[in-house]
Amino acid sequence: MIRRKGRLRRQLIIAGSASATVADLVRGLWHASGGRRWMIPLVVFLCSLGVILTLAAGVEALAPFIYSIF
Amino acid sequence: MKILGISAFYHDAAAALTIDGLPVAAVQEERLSRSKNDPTFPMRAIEWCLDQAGLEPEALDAAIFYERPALKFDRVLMTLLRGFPQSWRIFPKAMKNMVGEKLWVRGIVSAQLGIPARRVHFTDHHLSHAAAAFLTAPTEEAAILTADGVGEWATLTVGQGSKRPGGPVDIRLLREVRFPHSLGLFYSAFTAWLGFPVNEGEYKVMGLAAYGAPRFADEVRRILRRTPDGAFSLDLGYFDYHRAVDAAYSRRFVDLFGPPRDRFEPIDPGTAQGRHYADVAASAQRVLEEVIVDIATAFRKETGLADLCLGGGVALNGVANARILREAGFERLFVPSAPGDAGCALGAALWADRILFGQPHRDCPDHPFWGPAVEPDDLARLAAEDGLAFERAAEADMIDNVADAIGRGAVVGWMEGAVEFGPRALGHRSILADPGDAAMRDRINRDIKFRESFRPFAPVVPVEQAATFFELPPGGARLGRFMSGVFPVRPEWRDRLRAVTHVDGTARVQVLEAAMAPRLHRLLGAYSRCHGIPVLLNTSFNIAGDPIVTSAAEGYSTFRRAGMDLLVADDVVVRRDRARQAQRMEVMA
Repeated sequence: MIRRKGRLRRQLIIAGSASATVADLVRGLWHASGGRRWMIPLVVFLCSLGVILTLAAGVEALAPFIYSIF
Repeated sequence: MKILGISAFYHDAAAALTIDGLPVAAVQEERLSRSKNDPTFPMRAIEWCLDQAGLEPEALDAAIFYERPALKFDRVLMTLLRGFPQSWRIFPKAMKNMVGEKLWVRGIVSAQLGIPARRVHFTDHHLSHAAAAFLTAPTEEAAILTADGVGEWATLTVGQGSKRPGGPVDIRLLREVRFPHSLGLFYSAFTAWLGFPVNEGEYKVMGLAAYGAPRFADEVRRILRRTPDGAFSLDLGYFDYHRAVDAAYSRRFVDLFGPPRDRFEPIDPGTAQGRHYADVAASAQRVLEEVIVDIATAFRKETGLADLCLGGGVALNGVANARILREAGFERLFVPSAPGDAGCALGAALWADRILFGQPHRDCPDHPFWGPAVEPDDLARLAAEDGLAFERAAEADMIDNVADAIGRGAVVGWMEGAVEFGPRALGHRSILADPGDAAMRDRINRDIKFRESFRPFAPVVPVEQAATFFELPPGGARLGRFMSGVFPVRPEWRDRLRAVTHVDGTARVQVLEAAMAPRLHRLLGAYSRCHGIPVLLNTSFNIAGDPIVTSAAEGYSTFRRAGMDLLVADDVVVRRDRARQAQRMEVMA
């Protein structure tokens, strides 16, 4: 039987592991052929946005503030 | 090692568990959630796999996801940027989809299972397909060809693999065709134009193609062109899938082939409009076959290998598979029972065991039955609660009774043991019926499966007698093991096999070895003794739009709703009581 974690705890784990995924992406773009290093800031921005949205989904009290920012 | 393979987030999510290099459980999420092609994170499937092995998630040595989300994100972002400004409308939706969930698979798996993120691994999408095809096939060295819609960037790969029991495994993908040039997406565009759901209705296109003539093959060849290096490219002006989320083909496509079919209008190949649709389907099918047969032929010459393992969604195209076997020069063609994305869960787990962790190879059992088993006691209880007569019979008597009932025109729901892994019903969750009665085909299409009248049904035949009824090329019996090839029915038998012979005289035959499904094999023998032919109509046990049934309760519900005559779950047999049902309806009225 899988023990279910609370929603916030799940979102925090997801956000905590995001850095490894972003690092993978940045590394891939840095070494990519065809001069795609210019995409790194865009990717980092989009990923950061994704992490914030993921966290917002887990912290209901935070959601109104985050949605007012965007 | 205990390794969990996961595929999810596109279509047909699944989980598979291997222990010490052998599969112990594998199931598609749809079979448990009852939502057809369920793409969501396969929590039910994972739980079932772990329960089946008596494991807690902490006991897993690794969980492996079937593709690399970061590379997929790279492809999506690049495609959107290249497609600017046309792609600006789908940019927010695509980004929300990717960065809102799909990109964070490592965290999702870790959070859902409660295992450290360092135990979550990834492999390439097409490597998962290749591993699913090669590592489950009874061959030690083979060429590998994978083709589907798209993985990360690759849409088609060729490679080769070698393995031997107790020894190391090597799988190398040598070349690839990259998105947006894709055989799978090419075929899906025609699927969408013909009004069928993409990723679901491709087999309907294949069935419809048999009614048509490839009148538009030259036009299709303009869209799908061969390149000097032996690969292919699509004229992207005819497609929209790379710049829209809800359109597969463009205005130019419509100008070339005419207005798309309204999905609510029935297709009648007897009308001029119906013939037009069938001709376009036949043309797309013909050109797809030409391209994939050419690629396979060239690869056979290059590698000199006798065996080919085929994976990816395109490997579900049985007509193309049969042509590859006949024309490409390979002696044997292996297609796994789940060549699509669901099968990648098993492929990824096997790849991790053999290659990521360097474990020696062990031959996998050569059958598709890795899912939950049916509980006959549940069926007996349900029937008793409903006041329906059921019986428990000795196997020999039960088989004789069922064979006799089928011969008298009964439609039988047949459930036995573990559910199949993959989209085909291969004898454990099947509807069985008389293969000789054309009216039976129409009855099952219209009254039981609620599906289009042009769609054919498959036969099942024992391997010992397959060549008597079907024109199988060398290696054809193997390809028919998981119903992966379409072969001609011998002309002298077409009349006796009317319900399973398609309009072009072919059938997608399942060639059954006794060791794979012994009870069904014995039923074929009993039917042969009563009625002279060891062939039955075998179609998946579900109603249109539903996944194939898993449990006795689902089988019973489908049996009642679809008006079947007999339901068998292992040794329990339930008969429909038409008189009593009519009486109840009268009382209710």
